[in-house]
Amino acid sequence: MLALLRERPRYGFDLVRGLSQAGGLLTSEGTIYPLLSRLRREGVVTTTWRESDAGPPRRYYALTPDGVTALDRFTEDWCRFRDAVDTVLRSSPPRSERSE
Amino acid sequence: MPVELDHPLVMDFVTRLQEAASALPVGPRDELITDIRTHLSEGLADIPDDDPAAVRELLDRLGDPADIVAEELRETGTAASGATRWGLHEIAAVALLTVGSLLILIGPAAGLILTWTSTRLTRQQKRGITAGGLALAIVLTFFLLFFSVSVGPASLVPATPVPVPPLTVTPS
Repeated sequence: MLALLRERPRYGFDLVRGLSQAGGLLTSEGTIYPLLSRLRREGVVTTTWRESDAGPPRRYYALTPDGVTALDRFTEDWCRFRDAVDTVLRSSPPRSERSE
Repeated sequence: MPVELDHPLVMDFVTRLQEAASALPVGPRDELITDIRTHLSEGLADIPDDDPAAVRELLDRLGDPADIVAEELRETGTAASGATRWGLHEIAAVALLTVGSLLILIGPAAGLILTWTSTRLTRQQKRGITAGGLALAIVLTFFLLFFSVSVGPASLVPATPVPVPPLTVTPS
């Protein structure tokens, strides 16, 4: 979610659509709102109200400097974790190859 | 014409959300309901009036209102534990109930009043503090009674009663 906000500020419905397009990341779209509230309380995102062309005003979410730091740290940790898993998987080939 | 928020399916969903959200504190509750309503009006704007299946799909994707509220409770719960620091009020309440117990009645009574007027303590914490305070008061009372019986009055009473001379009736 933070990665989606890195490009530009987004409003809730827009974020939900973005996450749905990424596929399989959301089981219940409604639970994104409690998560966004917590991120705001933690100072990772800020919110501003903006008028929309149609319908009620929208709450826009944007990354704070703390949010950018958190995202960078997560990206780094995730890549290290992914590389470690890849290395282990490569060093132990699937059963079908080993049994030959 | 797009579907409005007063669509029966949507109204039923919002009602269930409001019922479930009554367990939340006012601030997070209003915010959550506003967020979900905004989400619904965004989603409904693209749905034509004669497409209840699409409305149902939008609601299904949002998830069960109870699950959304449960998630909010979990998120606010973790934030609240750090946010509700005890102030002078709460510390005074506990001090009066413990050390203050030596001021029989006045101390514990003031402690109980402070405990139950605190806005930071949860109901469960208030009950816990009250139970602890009462237990301490009972223990102290027994202790003081035991102390006064064994040491206090006992020291004033002679260990062996002074023999009283038998009354003798002298015939006149």
